[in-house]
Amino acid sequence: MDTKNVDIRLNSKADLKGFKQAETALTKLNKTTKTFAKSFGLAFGASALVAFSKASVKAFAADEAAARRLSTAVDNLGIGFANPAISKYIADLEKSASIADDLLRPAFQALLTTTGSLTKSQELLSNAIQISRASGIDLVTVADDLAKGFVGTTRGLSKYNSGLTKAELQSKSFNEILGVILAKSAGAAEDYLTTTSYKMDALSIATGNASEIIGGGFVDALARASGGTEATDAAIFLETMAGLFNKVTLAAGTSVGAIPTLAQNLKKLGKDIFFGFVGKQAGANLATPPKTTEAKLTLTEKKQQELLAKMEKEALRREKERLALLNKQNAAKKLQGVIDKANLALGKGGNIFDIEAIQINAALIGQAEALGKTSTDAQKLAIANDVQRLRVKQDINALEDAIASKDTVAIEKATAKLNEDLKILGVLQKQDTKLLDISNVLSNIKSKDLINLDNLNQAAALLSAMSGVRIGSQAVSAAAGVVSGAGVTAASVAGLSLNMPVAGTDFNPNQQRDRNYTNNVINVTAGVIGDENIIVDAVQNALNEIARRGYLTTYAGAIAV
Amino acid sequence: MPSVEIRGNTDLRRALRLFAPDLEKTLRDEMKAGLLPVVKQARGFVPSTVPMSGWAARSFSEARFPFYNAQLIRKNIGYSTLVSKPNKNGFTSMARIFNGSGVGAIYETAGRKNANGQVWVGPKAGGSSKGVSRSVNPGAGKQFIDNLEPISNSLKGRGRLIYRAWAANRGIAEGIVNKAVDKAITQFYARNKESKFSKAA
Repeated sequence: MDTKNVDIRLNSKADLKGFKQAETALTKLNKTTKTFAKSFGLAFGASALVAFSKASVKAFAADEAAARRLSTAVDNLGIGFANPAISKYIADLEKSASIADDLLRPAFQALLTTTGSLTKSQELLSNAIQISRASGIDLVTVADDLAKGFVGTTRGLSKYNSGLTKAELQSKSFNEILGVILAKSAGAAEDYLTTTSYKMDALSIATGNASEIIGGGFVDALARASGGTEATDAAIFLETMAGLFNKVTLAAGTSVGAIPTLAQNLKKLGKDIFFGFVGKQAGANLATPPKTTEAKLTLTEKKQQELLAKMEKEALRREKERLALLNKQNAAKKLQGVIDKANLALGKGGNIFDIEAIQINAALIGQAEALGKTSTDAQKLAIANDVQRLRVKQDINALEDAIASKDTVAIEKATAKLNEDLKILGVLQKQDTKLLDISNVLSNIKSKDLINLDNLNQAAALLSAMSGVRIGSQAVSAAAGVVSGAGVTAASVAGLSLNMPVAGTDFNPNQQRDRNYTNNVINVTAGVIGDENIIVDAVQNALNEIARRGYLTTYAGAIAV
Repeated sequence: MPSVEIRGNTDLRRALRLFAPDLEKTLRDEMKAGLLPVVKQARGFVPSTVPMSGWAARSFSEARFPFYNAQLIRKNIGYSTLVSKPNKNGFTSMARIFNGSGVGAIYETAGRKNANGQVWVGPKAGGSSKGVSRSVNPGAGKQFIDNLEPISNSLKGRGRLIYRAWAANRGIAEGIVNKAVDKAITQFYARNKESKFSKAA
């Protein structure tokens, strides 16, 4: 019976190996601080030595590869002679800031290749260290973000909690954004130097460097032992010699106490071992090959300075070009914005501008003038409107000219004037509307004059002449209401009685009945109208009967659908 | 110095053990307080008398099917507040309740998969496949299951002892454990903010 599944698991989570790696590193560090030399010396057997040497060789190889990459990048910039100075700068920075050169090199490389300037790269690397300390984000990422930001891609800088919005990040220059970030991370680098973490970092770097140095020594020594010069030769030899190390006992190992001493000793270890013992065991010729001095072309100091100056100048030129391009883009954007605005204003102007209206109004103005300027207020307003329209038209023309000339100032000025005149025109039109409303009201009032007593009398006379026409009580009462002020009623004027029946329309109770009308009774046979329930019962019974017995088109027992 | 990233239960407990041993102890105590009542109740569900005479212990055995032993079952029902080993999918649990004995597992789960017992093939059937009944009695599996208590359902699974107790607990234990873990995490990070952790000497 499998009992593994008979349990209840709580708070299950996927476990990953992050902490394990970190703990391994921590354990390693502890060992290196306390028992590095001791353990190395005591456990100088095959497995320990081979494992350590493998790790050292690996560390050395990684370090060498990173250095080579940076060196190549510097060469590509045409300042290969500056490699030693850059290496020194990295080494010094590693010591002062306690950041491993494994991190500093790629960070510096990213900045150098992007900026093309040594001074700018150094400045940005310093900034990157500060930001990295403050934010906790690793240095290479920070340097990469700064390099991208330097060329205008500032999106990556949002992660440093600068408090800038996305729009601000896009609109502000790199230097402005960097200034904000640096202001917020000020002092972080200095504070970090006082922490235990910094001390541990320093220790870690020291041991890492020791490992790299040891690895370098091993590679050289083992490569020579295998008859080659490359690290691959060393690796092959290391494997084959592993068994032989079982027999090796070195008193020197136990005497190694401190890391630097150990590093120095171990650097020499390769040579010593293989000269003294392994060489004999392996029967290999391990004589030190004479150093071949390569003839190198060295640049004069002056030439170097010239090249550096040229590089800086080139970087500056590129930066200027970039800024000029950026300005051009911004100017183009600004111009486009202004043009859009102007077009908007033109659109508004076009909507209210009507050439026919102008012509008509011009004619009106002409007429008004012809009348000896004896116009009313409404006419004056119309004239003012037309004048304003003409001004708007002039503004539109001016704005179109300005847009054609692409003169930003002129466009803005013309747009402002057009908007101003449009406002005035708008105000005038509103007044025009009000005046129009008033005149409409007045004209309505005037039209009521048509209904006066004379007209009404005439209408009433006409109606009285028409014998077959009846005036409804409502119409009459309305008419009476209208002319009540005159003291007479329409009915009296017309001589009509309101209660007079109209033949064929109103029922006249006094009318003599028809002869057949009195005793004529019409009976309508509606059948028996029963109660609703009775009808329902009847229908149900009928359905039941049909179901039981069937009827003409169906058979008994069928369910009616 | 490599930055330490805590991921998952193992990391958390290691980190607690290394940097805040008192928090780890508190966490264990709190989880225990949640789990122990379930365990006790589960132990109480173990019948003192053998559910069927044929399952009782005897002086000799014809097969490897374990005898019923209430004491053994009770003894092996327990809890653990240690982080489990990762399962095949890489998941670990922060705490667990187990029914560890073979006979206890049988009592716990019999009939869970086949309510009427496994498919009967009889003793004369060939092959060596498991998961079938080779008893001379075609109804042996059903009889066995019928003699046991009915299976209880819980959110963690179905069974007669720990799952029944878990169902009866109605999530109280789980709540206690989850809360304790959350509390430990919160306090751990809060302490780390106050002062960076370094490994105890």
